Amino acid sequence: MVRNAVLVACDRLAWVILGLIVGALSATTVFSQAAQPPAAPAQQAVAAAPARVFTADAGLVLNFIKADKTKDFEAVIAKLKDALAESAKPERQEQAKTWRVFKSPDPAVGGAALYVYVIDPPVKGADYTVTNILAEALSPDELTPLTKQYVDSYASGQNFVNLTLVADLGK
Amino acid sequence: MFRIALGCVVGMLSAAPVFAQAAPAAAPAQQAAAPNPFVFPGDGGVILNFVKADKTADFEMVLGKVKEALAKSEKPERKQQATGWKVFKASEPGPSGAVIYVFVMEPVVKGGDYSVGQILVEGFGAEGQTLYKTYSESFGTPAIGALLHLTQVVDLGK
Repeated sequence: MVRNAVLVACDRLAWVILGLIVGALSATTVFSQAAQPPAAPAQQAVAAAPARVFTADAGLVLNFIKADKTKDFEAVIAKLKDALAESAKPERQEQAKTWRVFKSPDPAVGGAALYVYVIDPPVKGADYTVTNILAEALSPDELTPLTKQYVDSYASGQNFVNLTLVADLGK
Repeated sequence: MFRIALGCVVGMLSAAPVFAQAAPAAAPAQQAAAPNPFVFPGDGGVILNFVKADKTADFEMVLGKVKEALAKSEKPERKQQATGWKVFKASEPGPSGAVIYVFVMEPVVKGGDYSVGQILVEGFGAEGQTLYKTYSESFGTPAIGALLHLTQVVDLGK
């Protein structure tokens, strides 16, 4: 009975209302800090992008990637992993420890792929801007094409959400 | 520019088969076979819940009961589910002043049912149904902003 209610609710809330939900999201400030396109290559080569700092207990980033650019995107993520691991800054290794990249198996509209960064917990005060981290590790000759590859892989901008822990159900 | 980008992003979510389980106009027999969206087949799951600003206490109270139900369950998988299940509140406001609560399930228990109603009824019987009613009534409109089934691509620390 309740199970049915839950599923019916899910159908109603998640599926049928999906359009409304998304519409609501679009009009809200939920992602107001986000929806920013990654820094442009030319800009990136000249100056660092604004720092992306998570001020709460966790961070979530939604990335919508072109279906035919997922390999490019994942290649950049691999470079990001290397950059974090090889950084001389201790906080970069700390950032890597709690930064995971997920992909939704279900395509988004237009066939875009949805990649989600889950950062739990973030390193306080650390900059999570991917292009800034890459810039620390790569030469300008390497950085410029890689940044272009990264930016070009996006179907749209990024959404950032700062999260405060309410409950850890296992503790 | 920013608003346009925001609209695009949201539009992509809205039409996304992220919610592909909701096959439209399925025949009754097909509906019975539809997968439970609260079972996460991959490595993780994220649910964005929009809660009425004046009902957050109710919502959090019920979540406390969910935690209690998971802890006292005789099913080992329920305790495992609790271990990887965190509830966060977004700093940013939701639509119509709603408060956004985010469930992050990572790792997920394969085959585990994360339906709050089911967990409440398992743990509290008839009282669980009452709690679920309170839980349902705490939601704003829309209720769920996203329900994502996730597969890990990379753990940047490993």
